Amino acid sequence: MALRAYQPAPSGDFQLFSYFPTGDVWAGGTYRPQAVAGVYFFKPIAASDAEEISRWRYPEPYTTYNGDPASVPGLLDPRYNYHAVTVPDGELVGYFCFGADATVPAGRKLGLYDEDALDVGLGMRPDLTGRGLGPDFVRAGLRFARHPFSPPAFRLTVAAFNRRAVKVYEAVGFEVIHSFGDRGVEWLLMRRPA
Amino acid sequence: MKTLEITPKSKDGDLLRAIGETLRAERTERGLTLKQVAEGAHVSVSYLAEIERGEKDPSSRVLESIAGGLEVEVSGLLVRIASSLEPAPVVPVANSLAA
Repeated sequence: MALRAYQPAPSGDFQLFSYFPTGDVWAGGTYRPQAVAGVYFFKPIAASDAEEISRWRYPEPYTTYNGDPASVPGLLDPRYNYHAVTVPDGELVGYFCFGADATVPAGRKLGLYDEDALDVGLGMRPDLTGRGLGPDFVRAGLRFARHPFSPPAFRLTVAAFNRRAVKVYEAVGFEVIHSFGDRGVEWLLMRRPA
Repeated sequence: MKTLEITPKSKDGDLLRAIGETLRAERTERGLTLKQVAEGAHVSVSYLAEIERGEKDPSSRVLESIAGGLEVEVSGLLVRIASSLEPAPVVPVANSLAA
């Protein structure tokens, strides 16, 4: 899996990576949410965030991204590095995950996830989608991820039907490097330098 | 003429619950999240969650897809579902005939 490259490396990376799930900041001391894009704050996901995200409902044709109360444990699993994104008043506006949970089974079977990039997954609160906020939101997430993960590149996997998301990723510099189908579902693998 | 009811009506939802519980057990034993299985099965997270709770009735084709998402054989899945069902209560035939 892609994340392995960022796990216990002999020195530096390990600390950066392992501090986050425990709530410490990579520079030492207590973790403080960082404002990395002026208006967006990133912090390791809390149970209350996960519960809120699991209640989000997207309109057609995006209902496939709807959560469920039973998805909370997956969001809270420290292996998947879910982070809540808030605005300064604390309102939850979206989330990011970094590593294995941002890959799909069909891509794993094809061996597409080399360890030379960090897989990124994300979601915005339904009422904020379709308003042109995507590129800034994604840029903020990538800027945040550079510190704890120091990846050589970013990669994401998106369902090909989701043209709206693909446009956002293209706008922030991702390029389609591979497309693959799996029993009627098409996926795009996109990548950009860190 | 009186009809004989050899097999008592099964309680509604028993099979659905057995299917759902088996799917959830298979998933959690493998350390997989709903999202991961749903992506492999090409069903939505919420639909898979409803099936796991016994709220939705999956077609055989959907069951096959979910087996794919779990990376198990559908035959093994069906065996496990069957074994999780309580054995059907035996109705003494003689009593039924006497009635």
